[in-house]
Amino acid sequence: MHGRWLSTAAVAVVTFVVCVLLAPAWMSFHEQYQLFQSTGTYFLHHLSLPGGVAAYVAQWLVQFFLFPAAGALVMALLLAALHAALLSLARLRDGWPLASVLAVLPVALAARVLADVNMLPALLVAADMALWGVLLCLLPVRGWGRAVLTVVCMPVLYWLCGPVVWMAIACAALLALARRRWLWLGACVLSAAVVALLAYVTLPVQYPVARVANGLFYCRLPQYDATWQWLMLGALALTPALLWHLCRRRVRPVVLCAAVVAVAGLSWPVVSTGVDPVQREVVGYDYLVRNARWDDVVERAVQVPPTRPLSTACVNLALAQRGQLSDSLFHYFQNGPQGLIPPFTRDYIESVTIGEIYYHLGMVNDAQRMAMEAQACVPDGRLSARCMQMLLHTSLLNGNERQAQRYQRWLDNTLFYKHTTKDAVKSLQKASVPPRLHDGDLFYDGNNTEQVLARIVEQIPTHRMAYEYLMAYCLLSRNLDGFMHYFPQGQAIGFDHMPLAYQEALVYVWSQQSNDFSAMPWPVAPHVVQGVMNFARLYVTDRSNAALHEPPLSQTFWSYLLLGPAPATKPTTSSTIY
Amino acid sequence: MKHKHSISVFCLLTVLAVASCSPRPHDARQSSQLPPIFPDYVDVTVPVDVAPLHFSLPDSVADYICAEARGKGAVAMEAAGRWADFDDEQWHRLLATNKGGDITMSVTARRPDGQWVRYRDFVIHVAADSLGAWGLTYRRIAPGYESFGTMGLYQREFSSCNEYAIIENTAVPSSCVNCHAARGGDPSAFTFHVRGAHGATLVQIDGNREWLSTKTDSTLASCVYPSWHPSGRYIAYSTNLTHQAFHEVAPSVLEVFDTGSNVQIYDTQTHALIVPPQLATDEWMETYPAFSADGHTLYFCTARRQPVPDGLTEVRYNLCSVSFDASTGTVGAQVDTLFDAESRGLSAVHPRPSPDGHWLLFTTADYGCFPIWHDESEQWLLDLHSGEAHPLAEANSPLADSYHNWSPGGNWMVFTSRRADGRYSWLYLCRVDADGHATKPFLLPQRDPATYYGTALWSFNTPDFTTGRVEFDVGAGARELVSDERIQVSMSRRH
Repeated sequence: MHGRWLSTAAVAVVTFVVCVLLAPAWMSFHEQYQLFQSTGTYFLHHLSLPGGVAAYVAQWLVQFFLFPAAGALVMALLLAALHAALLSLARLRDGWPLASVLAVLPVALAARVLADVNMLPALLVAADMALWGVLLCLLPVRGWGRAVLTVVCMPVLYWLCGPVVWMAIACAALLALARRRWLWLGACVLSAAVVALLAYVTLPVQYPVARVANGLFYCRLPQYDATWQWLMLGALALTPALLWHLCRRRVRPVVLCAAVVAVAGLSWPVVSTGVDPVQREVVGYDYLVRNARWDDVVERAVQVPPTRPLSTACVNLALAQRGQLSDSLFHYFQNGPQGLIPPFTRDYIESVTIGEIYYHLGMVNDAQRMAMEAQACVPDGRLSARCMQMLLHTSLLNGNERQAQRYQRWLDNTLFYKHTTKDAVKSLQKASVPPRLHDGDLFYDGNNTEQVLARIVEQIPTHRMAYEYLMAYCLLSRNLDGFMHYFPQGQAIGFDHMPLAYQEALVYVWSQQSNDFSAMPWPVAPHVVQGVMNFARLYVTDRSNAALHEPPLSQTFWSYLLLGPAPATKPTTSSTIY
Repeated sequence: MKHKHSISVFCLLTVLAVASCSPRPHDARQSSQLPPIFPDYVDVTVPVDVAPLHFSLPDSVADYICAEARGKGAVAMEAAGRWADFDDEQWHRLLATNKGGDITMSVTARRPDGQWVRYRDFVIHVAADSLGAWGLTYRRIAPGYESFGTMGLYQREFSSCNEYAIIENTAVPSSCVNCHAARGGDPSAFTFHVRGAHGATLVQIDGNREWLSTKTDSTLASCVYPSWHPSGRYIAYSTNLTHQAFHEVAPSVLEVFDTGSNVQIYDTQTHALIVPPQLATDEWMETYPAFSADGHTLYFCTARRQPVPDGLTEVRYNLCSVSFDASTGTVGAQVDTLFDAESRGLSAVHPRPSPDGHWLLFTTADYGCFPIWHDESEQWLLDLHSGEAHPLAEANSPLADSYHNWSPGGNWMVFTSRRADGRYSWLYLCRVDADGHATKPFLLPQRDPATYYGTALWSFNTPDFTTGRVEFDVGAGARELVSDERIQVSMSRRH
């Protein structure tokens, strides 16, 4: 009997290990884009909508995603509960070994659906609640009791779990059909009618019907392709009856082993194909930035070069935090100044990361702006813990304590953010916050980044990150006049050596006016001089030469300048909410 | 019988026991200070039909308060708890009984150290007149920049704290709703604008909805900032090319400005736009139209174009007026400057004529057309008879005071203000007397106001009074919006 649950335990262990090793970024992403509140109002709001209770429970659990091990435990328990429910519903005597292996497949499918960061854990919690609800209906031994309980439970489940209840009804109906329990089958049909009527009568007027039908709380996006969601729910509905039909007898060990191998072999591709590579890249970099794991950002960039402006921006931020931006700028993929400070787009992920860049630059108003924009862009309208923290920090930095208190009141109702203000005040007192502009106001409209950076450098000459970003901005914009204009201000930074990217730019500038590199007034290393000569020779004689497109020559300023991506068009002026 | 009697005694004893658990003031120290209540309702003047003015004290000052309200006669009411939660029915009876008089509030509070303090009594003045409206309509939206999250248009019953959604943008994803207006506060003629993939302008008259596409090849953009003509046939709109620029140094945050704007009038019968050339010039930017209550005059603002954003601080709007003939739908040729704000180093926007035609309410700032982001913005009143203008000193605050509207009777006004924390706009109301002086504004009442306003992450925009509840079929409206079927407005030949 104990062996029956070995497979469930295995599901839990595998899930735990996978989540801890491979999914911390995924968990952190979910945690940061919600703000669970331990208030009655919050609960009542969720209780007032179909599926709200499951979402409430899910959000409470997701708070623990802040800590990878705790989050992994939560996911392990949720998926194991799903597996256990499927097995229990199948109600097998002898065939449970094979059934316990086969039941892993729908669980893997559920994991696949959730691998998309826009699908919310509330779907999994709702599925768990619904399946265990069906189990509850099986408690009465007598047929009438079971039928009555089904008719009573299903509408309640609809309100607690949302449209996932259709999976529960289908599951119960299929089990009834498989076992020829006609009374119970009739009760399932009746409960379907009751649920449909309830859904119609209680339709929330401020939401489109399609959204209510697919579930208000299962996906972050208000409009999405719910095919995989319904496939998953269909598989969950079908599994118990199928297992009961296929696994009535015990099978030979060799068959069981083959099943284990097949399921294991199938499960991983099922789950991994649900991971969007772009999401993975963006979410992964954002997670590391959130936790200030600059070394890991750079290491990741080496292993998996960034392909998007946002990822490039994360790498550049990490390099700046390690004091390596001006040396290593061109050692990594660069796609223009938008890879330094990406232009604003209505995207909740990008805005948060851009806000981090502004924060470290000391552009506090812009950091706050990005937090507000990110908050506004969250597709399902939920508050974000991370945005709320940034709003609080920047309000304190701007001296607006009343505004900061407003945000702290929200954070007070969470498990792990009650001390945000205290921590922020401590940082302020220790001056462990980036230096920032205090006077000399100017406008920033996204088109005058150089001007704003130059103003910061002018006012705070020792602001290393601002200076490095200014110079990088000029280099990435191919603005050598600007580079030369701001170059002398680097003296105040106190570099212990001439940064490599600057040497490359200087030697290029010199090469446009003279071949005598010995007369250069700057300390450019001999290998840099040799490099530019090699590059120039190949560029002039054989532009298709492979050496030009491989390291070390491809990782130079000259390569970017002459062979890099075309300059991006200037961003248009911003629109407003007014 | 004995059994029933025992149960009744038990219930009575239970109630008494529970009641005796509520703290009662004892050994209260007398204080000569006024209670630092939030909201500040000390010495405010309210209409007789206002919702209960619930209030509280800061947590650092008190953890329990007992408030007693009394007027003339024997009517009095009490409220006690973490905040003064007045009973609705008792409150309205008290105000009705004291119409035109005063209500005296006594507050005794228990400090966190257990000491009770009896504060100095304060007075709330009850006006002799009611608000003259069912309630308010407004937009609620986070005070953001380019993106809008969950937001919508709402209506609030004035005699209670009940709020109802007119439309929320969850009904049509990725949309933004704004620029709502009713004809003289009458919701039977209602308009609002929707932006986004399914953008449109709604004009709903007596329940009939029309979704318009108001952008034409001859106009700058879609129609915004509506003002109904009292006849209900015309709506004056502005069409604006709106942009924004972001301040780098606090406390300034944002500038919203136009690079071009014109005023135009929409004829609901012909679905045509009337664009008088004197309201659509190249050198000037005309905006914020407002019809007078009698419909004979159209007020608007105009400013010389300047290079922006560099020249933004030189953009100053003056208040102007032009005659309007509703029978022909034509605008007079002569434009009168009513308030030369530019010469005073000010910019005047949001003209709102009073229903009796005596006053013109407007907002000033140092420059620009979006005063809510300017801490120096103030409410001003122009006497349309004498031409004299003065700031509404009693209503203004050191922080932004901006968008406003008159009540249908013209005795009250509602306006947005950021006086609380400089960032979030709340609604304040005050009475304006025949001499153009305002009473101390009071914050729109809410149940448990400290929690409501202390945690609100939205601002209240564009408030207006409504004489009745706005009826809008969200489901049908959302389906129509998504269908993208629109009435394309045309250009009228009339000027």
